[in-house]
Amino acid sequence: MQYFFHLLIYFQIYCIVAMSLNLLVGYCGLLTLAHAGFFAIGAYGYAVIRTTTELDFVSTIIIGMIISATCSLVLSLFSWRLKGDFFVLASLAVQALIYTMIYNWADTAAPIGSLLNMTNGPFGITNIPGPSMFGVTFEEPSRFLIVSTFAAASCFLVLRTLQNAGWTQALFAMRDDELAARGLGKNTRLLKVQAVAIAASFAAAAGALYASYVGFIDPTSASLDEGILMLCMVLVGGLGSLRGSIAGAAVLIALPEVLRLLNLADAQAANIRLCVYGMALVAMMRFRPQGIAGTYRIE
Amino acid sequence: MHQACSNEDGYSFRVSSKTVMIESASQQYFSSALPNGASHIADQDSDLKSNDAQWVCPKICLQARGLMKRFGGQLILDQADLDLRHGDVAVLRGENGSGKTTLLNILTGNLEPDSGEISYRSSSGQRSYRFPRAWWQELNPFDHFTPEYVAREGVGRTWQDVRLFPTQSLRSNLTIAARGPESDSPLAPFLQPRLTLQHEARLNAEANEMLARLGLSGREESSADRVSLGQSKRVAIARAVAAGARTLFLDEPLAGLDQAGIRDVLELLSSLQRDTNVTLVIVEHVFNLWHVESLANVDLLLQNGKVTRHDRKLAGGSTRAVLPSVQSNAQTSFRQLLDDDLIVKEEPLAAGARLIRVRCPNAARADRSLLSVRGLRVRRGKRVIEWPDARGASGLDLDLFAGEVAFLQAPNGWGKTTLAECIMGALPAESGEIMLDGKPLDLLPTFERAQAGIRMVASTDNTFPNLTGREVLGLSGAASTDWLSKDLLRRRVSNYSGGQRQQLALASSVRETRPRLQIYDEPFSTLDENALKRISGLFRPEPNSAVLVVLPFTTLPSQQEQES
Repeated sequence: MQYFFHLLIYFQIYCIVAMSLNLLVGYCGLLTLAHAGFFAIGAYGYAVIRTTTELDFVSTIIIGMIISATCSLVLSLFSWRLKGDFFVLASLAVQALIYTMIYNWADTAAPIGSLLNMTNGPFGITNIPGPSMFGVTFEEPSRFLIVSTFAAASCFLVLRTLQNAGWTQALFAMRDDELAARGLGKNTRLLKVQAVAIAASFAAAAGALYASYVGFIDPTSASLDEGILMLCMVLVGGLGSLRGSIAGAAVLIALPEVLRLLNLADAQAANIRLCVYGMALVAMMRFRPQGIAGTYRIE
Repeated sequence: MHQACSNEDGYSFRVSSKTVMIESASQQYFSSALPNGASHIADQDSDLKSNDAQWVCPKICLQARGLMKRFGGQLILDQADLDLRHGDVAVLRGENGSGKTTLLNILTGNLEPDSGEISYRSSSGQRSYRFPRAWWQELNPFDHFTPEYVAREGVGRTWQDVRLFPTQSLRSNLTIAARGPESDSPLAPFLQPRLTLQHEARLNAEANEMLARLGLSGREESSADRVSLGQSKRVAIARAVAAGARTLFLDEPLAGLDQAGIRDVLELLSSLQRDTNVTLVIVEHVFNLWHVESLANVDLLLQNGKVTRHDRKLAGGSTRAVLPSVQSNAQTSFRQLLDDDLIVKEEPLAAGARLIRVRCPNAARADRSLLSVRGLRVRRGKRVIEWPDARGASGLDLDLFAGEVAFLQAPNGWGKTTLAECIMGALPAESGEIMLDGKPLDLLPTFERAQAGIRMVASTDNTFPNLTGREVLGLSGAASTDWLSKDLLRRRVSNYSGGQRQQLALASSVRETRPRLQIYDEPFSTLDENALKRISGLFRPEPNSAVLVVLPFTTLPSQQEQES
């Protein structure tokens, strides 16, 4: 049962990631590989603050979201001028920047969280406190599930409310034809800054949840592999659809577990998992380019 | 221009009060028909009065002074001045490369001039931009010369290729435009949920009403990429007005439309002019210019980098033609394409199209067709184009013979480009057969069809923007470079105007020996009258080859129309 709770928690954390990434890829047409970077910023923000201060769980997550939203300006500034393939390359640069920063901002002589050793480099940060509110700790999977369910539901409701709002329609207009949208008076630069900041802050919230659940965070959370996995969830689930993001997260979280049932050796399972991801993506692009429940397809 | 303004100053007060009446009518029109945009449009006149002292003529809504623009060393605009007044319906004319699109792009904020000044007058007062702009001006987030900021000054535009938001419904296309900046905030649905819902409901209702006025009742939820070209052009115009356009630039609004589409768009423009006093500036192709003649009250001539304004309105309210009749010019251009001694035969084709075959009188018709199409059906995306005939049988049958030039005219959506691309091998045939000189082409890729003697000039993207004109002609093996000036041939194609690109594409198709089958997809688009004269030789029949020209229905008059 604990194992099932564990899977459900992972699924809910990645639901938040996929829904927020869909805001960029599906709603704005900004294909980004830097989302894992913002996820890691949230996770590290939570880890550093919680291990070095007495700040409470919710405030820490909010600070992590603000830091991530501020850092997202780097990506949104690129999006002002770059489109298509060039924006993807720019997002790759942002991902590399964040990963390198996390990997190298370390000095073993200095305490973790100090200016000289903010991230503890490749060793990561251990013993991260779990969530605790109103004097109750939520570290057990069965209890953490309440927190993650609440977070995923809140994210879904916020994005669902936005989906029916004029703001999202302006994003769709910008995605379809940016010049025509500008000709109608839409400030597309501001729209991009807002969308990237909202997506990055939700990714940071998911990262903070992850760090608080696992109790350990290291630079691999910001790696390109993670960014591609997140993008796969959105592409497989379907662009421009919240349901699609949830479906994508479910498929890609369930896939390794299905392979686990085959009782393969770890080294083989890891490689086969990558092969299955690749084949699933190719098959999806060929037979259903809009994803499982998508409303939009990248041409 | 100044003379014209000062002459009218005598009745400026009278005109002003009359304008207020018109604005009241427009307010009624928009409040009942158009969302937002609308609401602030109608209040402008009262606001405008406060700034009258700053303007030479109180009715002016857009003023440009000393505009200069160079492209690749060539001077396109040379100290160009322009005044537009409320209610003007201006036709912007000029030869290929004269700078029509450049001027349109500059006035709508899509392009910065090298120097000069542009002033817009809107409900929020007057805003002037002086060029070149200092770098520190770009740091001010509220003072950019970009399409979105110019649009907020009440200046809108439509594009030749429509550019509706294709994944959105027709209603969404209108409501997106109608929302102001405050409604586009992501916080709006959280801070004022009830107000936002009410606002959205009102916008939807107004958009539905507007679509009903456009004759699109019941199509509100239709995706914008699923409606006809004529319908989408009307929605694009309504969308620009819904976004608050008080001065509207229309780039070839009739391009590619059939008769019904042209009629509908003209009706909409006429109602805009009559009911809302919106200023319209129309750039239109020479073949379609005569359609907008009845609407226009101003001619703007762009020549040698300068704009000359000719008002048609006379003191008695009648109009005068300042320029030669463009209708006669269009027909003259057509006659030049076909010599008097040629045999012209018109025949109906499947699904309402017609084929005009032109042949030399002494050329005997060959027994066997050069191109033979039998039972052709082609899939384009999700749609299968079947070309059903009068008896309901599907599949296109078409024969072209050596020594012929065939003009295929068909309504929008008929599948003209699809047919041309299928013959060329760019699209696979779903069923049916295409044969050249009796040999089936079905399995041949495009390059082998080109080697077999089929060449095509597409309607768009038909040249190489990163090469110079001379390089393009060399690459295509063109026989002559006389059509374009030496200066033009030295420049990169990306610096060419739309008309110049089309001329280059057509010049690329001229070879010492004409290919067995030459296909032209809408070759006349964007060409001026001089260019039309230049290319007429392309459409003269030659004994060993055939030419297929596909055109929208309105480009050439039918035989009955010519006779009448």
